[in-house]
Amino acid sequence: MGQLLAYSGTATKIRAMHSHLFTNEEYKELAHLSTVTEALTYIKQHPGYSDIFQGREEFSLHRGEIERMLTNSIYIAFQKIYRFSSVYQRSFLSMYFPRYELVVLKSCMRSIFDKRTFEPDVSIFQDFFNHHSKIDISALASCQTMDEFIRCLKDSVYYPCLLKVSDKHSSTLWDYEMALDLFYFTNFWKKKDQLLKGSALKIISESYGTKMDLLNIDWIYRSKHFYQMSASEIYAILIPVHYHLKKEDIKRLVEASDGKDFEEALSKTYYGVHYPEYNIQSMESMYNIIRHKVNRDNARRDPYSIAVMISYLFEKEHEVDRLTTALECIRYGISPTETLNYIIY
Amino acid sequence: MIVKMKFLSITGPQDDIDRVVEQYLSKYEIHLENALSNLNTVEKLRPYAESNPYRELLVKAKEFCRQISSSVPDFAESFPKEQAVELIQSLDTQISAIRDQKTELQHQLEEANTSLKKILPFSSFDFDLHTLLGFRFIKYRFGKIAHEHYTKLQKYIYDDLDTIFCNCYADQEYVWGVYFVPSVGAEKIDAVYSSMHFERTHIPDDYTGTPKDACAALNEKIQFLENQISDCDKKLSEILYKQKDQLLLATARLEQMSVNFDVRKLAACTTAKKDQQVFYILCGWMAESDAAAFQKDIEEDEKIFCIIEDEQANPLEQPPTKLKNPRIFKPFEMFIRMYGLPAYNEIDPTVFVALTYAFIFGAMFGDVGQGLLLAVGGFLLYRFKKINLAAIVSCAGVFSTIFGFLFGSIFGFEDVLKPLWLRPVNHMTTIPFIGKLNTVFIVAIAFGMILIVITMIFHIINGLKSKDAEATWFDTNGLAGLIFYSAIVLTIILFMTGHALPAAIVLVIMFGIPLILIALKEPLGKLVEKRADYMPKQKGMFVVQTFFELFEVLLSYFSNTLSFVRIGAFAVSHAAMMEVVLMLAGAENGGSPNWIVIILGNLFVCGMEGLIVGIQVLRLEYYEMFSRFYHGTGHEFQPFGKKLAK
Repeated sequence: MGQLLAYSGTATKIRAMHSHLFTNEEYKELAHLSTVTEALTYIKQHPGYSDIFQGREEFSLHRGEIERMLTNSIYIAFQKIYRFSSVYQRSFLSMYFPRYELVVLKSCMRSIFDKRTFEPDVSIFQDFFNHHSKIDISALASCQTMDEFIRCLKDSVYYPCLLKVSDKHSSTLWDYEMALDLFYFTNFWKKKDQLLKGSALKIISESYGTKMDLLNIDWIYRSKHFYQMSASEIYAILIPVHYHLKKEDIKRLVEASDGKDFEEALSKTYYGVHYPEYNIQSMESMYNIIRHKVNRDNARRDPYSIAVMISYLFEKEHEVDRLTTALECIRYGISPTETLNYIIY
Repeated sequence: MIVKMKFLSITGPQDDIDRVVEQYLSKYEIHLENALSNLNTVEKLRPYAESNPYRELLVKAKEFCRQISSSVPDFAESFPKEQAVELIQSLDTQISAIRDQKTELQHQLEEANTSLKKILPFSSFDFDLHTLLGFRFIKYRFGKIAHEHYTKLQKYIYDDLDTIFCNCYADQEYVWGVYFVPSVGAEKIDAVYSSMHFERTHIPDDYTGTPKDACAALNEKIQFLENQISDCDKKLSEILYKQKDQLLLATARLEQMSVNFDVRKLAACTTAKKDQQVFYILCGWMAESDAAAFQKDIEEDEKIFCIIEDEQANPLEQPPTKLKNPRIFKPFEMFIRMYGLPAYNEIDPTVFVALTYAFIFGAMFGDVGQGLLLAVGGFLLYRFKKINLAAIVSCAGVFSTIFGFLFGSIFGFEDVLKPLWLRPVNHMTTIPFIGKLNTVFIVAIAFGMILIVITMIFHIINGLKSKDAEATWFDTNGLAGLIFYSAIVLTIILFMTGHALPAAIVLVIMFGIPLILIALKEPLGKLVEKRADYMPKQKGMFVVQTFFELFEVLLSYFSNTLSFVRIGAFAVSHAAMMEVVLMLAGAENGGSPNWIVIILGNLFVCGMEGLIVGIQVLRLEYYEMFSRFYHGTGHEFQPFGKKLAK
């Protein structure tokens, strides 16, 4: 009963926001459009995006701009949920928030390594961002070297982990991004135990534990298959969090000698057992399917809990991914059926 | 009082400046202004730039003084200049050898410390380092590995790898240790470790024994070096100590010379054409009497020319303020400084503050015993510690004693002394319209009215001095305000004493006209100054604003006057508080009281009420009185070359 009262506002708000997400029918209609302009007009009239695209001409939008605007819609959704949340619910959201900080940090670092100038556009999110984040985006964007960049972050939580990387010579962008990611995941996993309790903790652990497991499997496969990395190198980059995966599972996956061996190891994991269609070919789409299923089930079981927030944020972020993919497919003239393969699971 | 100032311009041949500063300016107090910015209308002047030759020596000399940890005396007029320079230079050469030795030792110490830092994490590794070097089939690597990677290493790899990792030490970030590998296949295992971000540290192999021994040896070395350094310090101090007095005098002299030399920063130079002589120019303020003496002094001197002008001669800069008050009032200058020094043409309120502060404090804290305590204690503190506040407390204590006699109160006992005037708690007066009231309240308000009238008069005088027509005649505290307020005071007195009030027409003139003048003060002030823009631009806005301002003015007269009730209130509350103390001591029924309680209670009331009353009076001074007439925008007179008096 307490849960019901505490979450009634947020849950109702999220349900309303849920109705503004793209449905499968809508994805199909979108995929059948033939030009980017048409697709944009379609997205523009959709209630979830009409505000953001208000007053912008479809013809004049550059692809980078479109993607930025789509991403901004995530920030706005996050902000809306935050405003509706109670103090306890906000503790989850503020734990989740560094994810968006990382996006900004990473784009800054990329432009430093590419020697580009970077203009961050979080204008729509600025107030909220400044309120919650200790990092000064404009100062970061003006940095020319990594040393400057790290100095700018002196007061933030990211400083020690970045400093450790820069102490080693010849660190690449990859090392920095990896360090930030690992820090984010470990920190998130640690914080959830401090900030949350009871069923909320259980839900979060399931949702994000699954995510980290799947990411680890993905990484192991990619680093073996595409990069031919040695076992110890793979161990070094894994997220040190295991939910359903066991130590033996990971060892078997990492030390698999070829694709067949890997497939076999995969089928013995929790995920292989529970999702028989989970294999090397379907790995990427299964990532989304499994996460979608876990989040949806949790949200259905506990409709007045943190699960609805998690589920919504997941769906919203993936919707932006799918829309981006759809637009790219349309841009390159890929047939609607193939496009739908990429965006509907 | 504010000392009258004269503006001096001193000039002479360029190379004569040092002699002038030395001979005259260190004798007379002069507040120098930057000549270049003061004479900015004069063309062809340039700054007198020359680097200070004494600065380096002075730095050295101060370093020496720090070595023997003595503070430099303020004054060393008599010490010859050349001797001072010579002394410092000779000392410098004497100690240079020891100093070099010390630097060398410090360098070694630093090195030893770095080595120690390197080897310290491995001190728990109990094995002879030299033996390790001799291993033929096993290789070893010292280093550190981050915690997260260490756990991964332990979890996934360690069991399958031909290696042994000795964990030596762990801090928050890293695990320090050494790992061993067979030299066959070492490369592969090294690669594994390096992909786990193991960072190698190279242990210098000039140690024998275990790392622990090495640490101990290093610590010993560090101790030894530190001892040697302190020996050097001792030797240095000894050399310097022999000539301590001379050194201190020389330093003081050098400091003075350096300051004198820096007079160039404030001076300007004429630009010379061909073989014309270059002249320096110095400008500044001097007290009137000093200026006269100075002029007499330089009459004989051919190389120095001085022009003395009145304060109006320099419209750019406001003259600095130098306060001059009788010694007994001097401590009260503290309160003035806290608010802001008076501008040169303002009234110096020190005497006024001194008298009113002490008087009002006395009235609020009337007690013979406690007053005497404050007077004596404050005086002793001031005498030995030179604390200004103590002197103020002492003065206040004197008045407190006087009022103690008037109220007949000593250490809270109300029945020992017969009051010369009245008892604040019991003495009542009946006045019409309000009823029965403590007499002290009425007297306090009447006193406040008088003070307000006096401050208004001050305001008018200030306005006249600064030739500000608006402030003098039409301001709330100007003549208009004074007439209005006096009229109210008069009317109230007549009413309270039962006299007939003046006729209505007189009242209208007395109240109405000043009020209208106050309302229209801005346009009127501009009109008197014959300015064209005297009519307000937005008339509607002006009327509304004026109406509310007038309302505020009336309210502030009322509240400022009532504010003085606190004088009476504290007089009453002092008696009441002491009554409580006596009650606690069991003295109210005439029985023999508990003397400890009485003493502690007296101390407590004396401290707490003293503090509160002190603050309340200061508040009255600043808020009720200063705000009526005082601006405090002056800047202080800072004599050149003298350390500022605190």
